[in-house]
Amino acid sequence: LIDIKKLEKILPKVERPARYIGGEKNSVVKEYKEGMTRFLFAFPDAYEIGMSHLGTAILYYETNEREDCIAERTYAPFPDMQAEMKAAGIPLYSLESYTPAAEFDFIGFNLSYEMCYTNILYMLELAGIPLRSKDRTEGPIIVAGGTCAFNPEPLRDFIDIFLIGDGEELNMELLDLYNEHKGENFSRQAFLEAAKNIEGCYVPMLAKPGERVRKRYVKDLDKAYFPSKFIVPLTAAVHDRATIEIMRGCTRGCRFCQAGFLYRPVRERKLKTLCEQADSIINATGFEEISLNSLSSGDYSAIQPLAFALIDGLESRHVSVSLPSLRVDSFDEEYAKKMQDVKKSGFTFAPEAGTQRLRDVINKNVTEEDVLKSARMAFESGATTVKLYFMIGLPTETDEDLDGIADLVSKVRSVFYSIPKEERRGSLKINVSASSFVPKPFTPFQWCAQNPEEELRRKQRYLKDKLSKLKGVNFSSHFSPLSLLEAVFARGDKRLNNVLESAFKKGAKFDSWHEHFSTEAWQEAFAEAGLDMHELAETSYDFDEELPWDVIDCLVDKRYLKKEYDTAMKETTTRDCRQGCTGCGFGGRCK
Amino acid sequence: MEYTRIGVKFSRTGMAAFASHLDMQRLFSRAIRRTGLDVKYSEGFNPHIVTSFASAMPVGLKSRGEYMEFSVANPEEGLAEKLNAEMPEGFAVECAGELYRTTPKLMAATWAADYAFDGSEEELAKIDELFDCSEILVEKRKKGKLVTADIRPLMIAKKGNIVRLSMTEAGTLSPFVLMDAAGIEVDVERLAILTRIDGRPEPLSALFGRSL
Repeated sequence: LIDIKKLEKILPKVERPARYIGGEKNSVVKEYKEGMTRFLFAFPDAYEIGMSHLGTAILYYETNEREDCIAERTYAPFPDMQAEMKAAGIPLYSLESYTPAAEFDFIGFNLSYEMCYTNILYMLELAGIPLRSKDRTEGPIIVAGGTCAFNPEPLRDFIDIFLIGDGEELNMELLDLYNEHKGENFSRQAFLEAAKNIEGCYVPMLAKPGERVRKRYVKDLDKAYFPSKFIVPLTAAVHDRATIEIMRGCTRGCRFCQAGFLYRPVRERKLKTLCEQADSIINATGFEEISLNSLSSGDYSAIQPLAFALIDGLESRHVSVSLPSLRVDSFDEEYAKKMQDVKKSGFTFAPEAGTQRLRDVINKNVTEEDVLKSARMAFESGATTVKLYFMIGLPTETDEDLDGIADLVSKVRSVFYSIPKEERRGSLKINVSASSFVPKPFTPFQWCAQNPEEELRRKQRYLKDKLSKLKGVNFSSHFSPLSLLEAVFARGDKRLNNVLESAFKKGAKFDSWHEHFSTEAWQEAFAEAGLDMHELAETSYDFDEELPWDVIDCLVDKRYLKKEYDTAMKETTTRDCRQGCTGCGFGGRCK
Repeated sequence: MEYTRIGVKFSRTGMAAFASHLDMQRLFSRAIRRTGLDVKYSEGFNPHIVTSFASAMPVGLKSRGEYMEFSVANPEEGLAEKLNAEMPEGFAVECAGELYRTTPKLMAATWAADYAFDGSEEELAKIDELFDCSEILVEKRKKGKLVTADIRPLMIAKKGNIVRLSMTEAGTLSPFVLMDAAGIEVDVERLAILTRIDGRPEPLSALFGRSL
């Protein structure tokens, strides 16, 4: 164990020390017994971000259900804490038992977004573990899973095993295998070789050219493990609430959306299961709010009965039900009113693009009429704040499409003012957010170049200028160096391993936090490797070129993605596959 | 609905000392919610459980005698035990009792607090030296501005390693500020929060009525 006395001495010197102490309600503190396998869930970002991560919560409890395993957690300490830990000689430790990370059998990193990669190295270093797989002959097996694991190449030198796809079964199979191998005669090499035979495990050190690792998915989500409780964060998390996962996967086929292709097929949990889960989680946590997790909650086949059942069951217990990522066209009036009753919050719409032409290109099957109709319902039910999400830099975009955004915002405004003054409940606020499009692997746009940084900046200025003329409209856009790096790493290849390590050594960490982002570190690291980040992000891949992520089979056919790309260029949409198979390659396995 | 005020005495030990006051408010509200008790919520858009703490604890302070209050519809026996079962690691409910309608808010009833300093004789002698002074000026931040204040009037008494410091609306002295002034850094624990009944110092729990 780490020296608790020393820890108590440094905690008063750091910001929000409650992040580093554990002891939360529902955290699982198990006594270690000889022979147990210890798995450390390491989230490569701050406590308040990691505590909101659903996948980690599921696997943490599922692993702890096993009598032969202990799962604990750790998060990336902020630089103030890291400096104190280093000075005091305290390594990265688990929040449950204050055990040094290096003493675990496994350390599992979640890869939710590309901009957390430096933090993986940062945490390994703080744990005193060699960064590269080839330099590790003992100590924990380093595994990684999550969305970004689908393009493992930029991290291949640092991770022993990538876990591709849903973890509920895959992680358990890996633990079973480890239990067979562990003991006095444990051979790391033999274990990794055996792990390679588990479907969904990508072991870069042992990968042979031409091999592809097929993703895993749970066939019956309703029967898949889901915890009956959650850890209650001691200090506020970004999403400080209960979550139930109503559905996994999405059939809409928006062409920019990586999750939409990675998490096929669509699987739902039953209404009854969800109500039971919600009830037990609320009882066990005391959370004030519950949210429904999915890629497109409005598409859940029983969304209204579910929402009404939850509201009826939880309202009297002072629990509000919130619905994220509600699609514009699934918006319903009765539903909107019901939601408003519970929480007087704003409404969010994501038309993503400003013109019908561009929305057809990206297959966002939403019309201007849908948006305005939903806005009217929202305003009539009393909302005065709406959020509108767009992307800029989408393939084929021109300034006309940007004009379309301003035009649509202006029309939403007019809808508000068309409502009789005495029926409005305050003044209008429209928050418009424009993120920069990042082409992602396993999407029809995976071959596309990102807009040059300068062009994205120009588009941001152009939009800002147009929208600033509209009263009550707030415009925000994303920090462009981050979008650039995200594009580089999202579609990057193995050359990035050296760049990543070098940027980390130059001080890059917590890259998604503006105050910690170091442009210089990254520029120098790319220059040293003889790579140009602009060129990497802003060059398109050839259609017949081998792609770095071809080592993974996400079960959606590459030819289908190409066909979807061609259809996009013809400004033509593809139907939601619930209305009929569109031939993505799953070929009936989704039924 | 008629609600009864409930006073709760609790301790905060170990790592839990590093929770902030805001964290404490949230974790108590959620622990209370988990008990399923019928409790009083605030009015308005986002109703929350009405809780009030006798003192905003400094981050890092351990305590054996902390107090908070909330209101319930049905004050039932075993409430303290029920709430204790829902507290996170490091927090323990010591006892709970009804508060009379006429009793002031616990926050307004505090007078002083006792602290145990776990220091060597030399270190404790530094505190004695402070008691010998007639004025001790320290700089502190107040609404972003540095102001100078005399903390000597807030130092009530010292007996062995136990020091009594003022805790009133007019002036509260943190043991950490005292240690800064004395130039020492030792472990400290709050032993009790005191009120005055007929001029006599009594623990705040003396204000509790029927024990629950």
